[in-house]
Amino acid sequence: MWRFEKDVRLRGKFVEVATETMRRSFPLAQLAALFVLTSCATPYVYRFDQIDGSAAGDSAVAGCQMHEDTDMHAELRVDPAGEHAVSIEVTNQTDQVLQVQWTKLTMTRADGLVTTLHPDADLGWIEPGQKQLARLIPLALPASGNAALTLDGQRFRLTVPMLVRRERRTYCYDFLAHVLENKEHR
Amino acid sequence: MRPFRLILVGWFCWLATGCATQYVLPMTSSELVDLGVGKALVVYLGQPDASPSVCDTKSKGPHVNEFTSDFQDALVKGFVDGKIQPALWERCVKRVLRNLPEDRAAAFYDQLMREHRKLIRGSAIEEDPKAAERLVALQNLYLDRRRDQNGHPEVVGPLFEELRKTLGKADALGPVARDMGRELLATLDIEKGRWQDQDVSVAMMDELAAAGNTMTLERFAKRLPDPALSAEASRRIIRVHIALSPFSEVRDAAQPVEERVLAEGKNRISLAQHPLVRAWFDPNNMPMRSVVVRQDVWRQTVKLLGSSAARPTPSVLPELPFRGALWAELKSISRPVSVCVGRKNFDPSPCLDVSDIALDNPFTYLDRSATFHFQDGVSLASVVPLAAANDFSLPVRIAGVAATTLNWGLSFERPEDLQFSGAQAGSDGPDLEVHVERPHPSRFIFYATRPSATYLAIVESPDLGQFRVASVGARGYSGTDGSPGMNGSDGAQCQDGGDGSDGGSAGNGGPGGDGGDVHVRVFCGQYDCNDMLASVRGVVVSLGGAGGPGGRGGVGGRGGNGGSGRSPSTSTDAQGNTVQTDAGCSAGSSGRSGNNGADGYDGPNGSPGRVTFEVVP
Repeated sequence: MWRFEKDVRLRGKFVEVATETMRRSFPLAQLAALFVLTSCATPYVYRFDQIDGSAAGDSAVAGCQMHEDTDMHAELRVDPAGEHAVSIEVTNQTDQVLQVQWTKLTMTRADGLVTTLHPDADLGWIEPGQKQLARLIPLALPASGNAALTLDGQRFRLTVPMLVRRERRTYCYDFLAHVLENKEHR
Repeated sequence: MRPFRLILVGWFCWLATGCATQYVLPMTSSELVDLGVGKALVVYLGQPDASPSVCDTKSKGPHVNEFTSDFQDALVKGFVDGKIQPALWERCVKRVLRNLPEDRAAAFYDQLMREHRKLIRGSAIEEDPKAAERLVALQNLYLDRRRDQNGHPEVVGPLFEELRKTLGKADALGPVARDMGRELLATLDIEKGRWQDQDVSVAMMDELAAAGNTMTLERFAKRLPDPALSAEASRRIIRVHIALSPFSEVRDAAQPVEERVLAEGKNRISLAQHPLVRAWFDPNNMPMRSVVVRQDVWRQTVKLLGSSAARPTPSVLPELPFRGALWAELKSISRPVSVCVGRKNFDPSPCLDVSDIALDNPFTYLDRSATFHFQDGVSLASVVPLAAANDFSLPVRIAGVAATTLNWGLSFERPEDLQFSGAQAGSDGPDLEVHVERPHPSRFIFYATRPSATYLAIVESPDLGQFRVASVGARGYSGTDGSPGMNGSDGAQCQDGGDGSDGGSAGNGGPGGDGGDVHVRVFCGQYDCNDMLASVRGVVVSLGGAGGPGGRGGVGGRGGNGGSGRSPSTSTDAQGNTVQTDAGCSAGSSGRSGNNGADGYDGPNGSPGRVTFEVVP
C-alpha cells in the first residue's frame, strides 16, 4: 500500500513538473512559431504608378482638379525606397506666392479609408517660380501577408488643397498600387 | 473532466455573447442620453454621420449629462478597438476635455498618452493605416490641448523621456514612429520656449512669417508658454493670411483687419453696412442627405434619419457646418462670404457671424459654431406639416431677411399597422373613428381614435397596400386540455394487469371577439373623392378575432403490466412417488390502455364589425 501511495505521489509530482515546464515553455513555443511564420512570410515592396483618375468617373472627383494647369506642377512619388512617406515637389509657375495647405492633405484608399498626411517638416509658401519639396507622413503599408496582397491593383488618391493666385483649388492625384515580392529580403 | 470543462467554457461563451447589450440602430443622440452608458456612446459614435456634439456637456443639443469614468474608459476602448473613426473620436474628445476640471483632464491625458506610447512602440502603425491614423489623432489631441491642461508630470514626463532615448537609438523605431515621435518632441520643446535648438523670438517669427510658414507659427501660438510671444505668433499668422487673402478690401486695410482678427478671432461683417444681396448653399461643400421619418405609432414619436445615394440604409442625420456651405453676396464686398469660424483659425476673410443667421425649421437648430443640427425626440404630431411638403426644407434668414433654402429629400418609412384589438381573450375590438387626410399627392395621414386616445400614422401612397388600420376582435380563449387517464395497476404474480382509465375530454375553444365598428371620414381636400375612397377602402378594416383552439383530449392511462408466471413444483412422498405440490401458473396479461379523451372543438371566429365610409369633400 505504501509503495502504491508513493507511486501516485511520484506520478503526481511528475505531472506537476511536466505541466509547469509546458506552461513555462508555451510562450517560447509561441515565439518560435511566430518566428517560423514571420520568417516564412513573403515580404513585399510597393510600386505606385500615377494614373489619370478623371477617367474613373466617381463622385469623389467633384471639387477635385484632376489635371494640372499652367499655374502649378507637382512631382510625386509614393513610398519611394519603402520609406513609408509620399514625396512631393511643387513648382509655383505663377507670379504670386502659392500656399499648399499642408495640414489638410488626405490619402483615400480604394476601400474608402481616408487618412491624413502632413510634411515631416514645417513649410511655408512657395515664391513665384520656386520649387518646394516635402516628405509627407505617415504612410502605413503592410509589408507582408494578405493585407499587402489585397492592395495590389488598388487605387490611392492623394488630395492636395492649395491657394493658387489666392484662390482655393484642390488637386487630386491618383495612383495604382503594385505589390511586388521583395526578393532581396527573402 | 474535459467534456465538463468544454461545456463550462461553452456556457460562459454563450453567457458572454447572449448577455451582451444589443442596441437598436440607428441610435439618436437623445436615445444615447437616455441610455446614459459608455458602451452606448461607442455604439452611437460608430454610426455613419454621428455628431461629436453629444460629447460636449455644454452643447445646446442632447449630450451626455456627466462625463464619468465609464464614458472615458469606453471612449478610449472604442477608439483602440477601431470602433470609432479617429477623426470623429478626436473631435469628441476635444469637446470632452474642454469641459473637464483640471484634475480629470490630467488623468484623461495620462490615459491618452499611455495609448500613444503603446501605438508608437508597436509595429501596427507602420503597416496599418488605421493604427497610424489613431496615432495622429492622439498626437493632435495632445499638441492642440489647452495651455492650462496637461497630463500629470510624473506620468507623461517619463513617457517623453523614454521616447527621446528611443529616438536616439538607430533603427529602434520604424519610419512612421520615428517621424511622428520627432514631431511630438520638437513641438514639446516649444513649451520650453525653444524651437530647433534656439530660443523662440519675435525675430524668428518674423522670418517664419516672411516665408509664409504658418505651420510653425501655429505651433508657437498654441504652445508657447509666454502669452505675449504666443500673441505675437498669432499676429504673424494673421499677417500671412492677410497677404494670401483673395479679398482686396482685406489686403488694403491690413492693419485694422489684423487688430480685429487678433481681438475677436474673426473679421465679422456688419450687415447694416453691407446688406445681403443673395445667398446660396454650395452642394459640393456639404453632405447631401434625404430625410427619412421613422414613426413609432404607439409612442407617437418619430426619429429623423438620413440616407444618401451612396448609403441607402438610414443612419442618424449629420451635423452640417455652415462654414464653406452657406455663402452670401453682400453689398460692397468684392467676393462671396461664408460664416465665421472659430477664433483659433485667425482667418481675416470677411464673414457672417452666427448671430446673424437663423433657421426657419422647427426640427433644426444652429449651435455656437454655426453648425446646424437636427432635433431629436420629435413628436409624431409635430411632423404632420412635413407630410405636406415635397422636400425637407431648411429656410435660412440672414439678418432677419429670408436668404436661401436648403432642400433635402423627404420620405416617411411605412409605419407599423394601427391595429387595435380587444383587451382580453374573446373580447370585441374597439369601435374606431378614423379620419383620413391627404396633405400631399403621395401621402396619407390616418388618425385613428379609440375611446381612450388618438393615434396618427403618415403613409406614403406606395405603402398603402401593406398598411392597415384595423379593429380586430381578440382571439378566443384556448380550450382546456383533457385530464390524462390513470394507468392500470400492475398485476401480481399470475394475475392480469389492471386496465388504464380513459383520458378526459378536452374543452372547446372560446369564440373570437367581433371586430369593432369603424367609421371612416375621408377628407378629400383638393383630391377626387372617388380616388381617395378607392385608395383607403382596403386600408381601414374590421376583422373578427380567430376562435380559440380546442384543447387536446387527455391521454388514456396505460394498462397495467401482467404479473409474472410460476413454474409447477413437485415433491417425493414417503413411498417415493413424485407428487405435484404446485401446478404453477402462466403470466398474467397486461391490462388494456384507456382511450384518449376527445379533442375540444376550435371556437368560432368572431364577426367583423361594420365599416362605414363618409366622404367629406
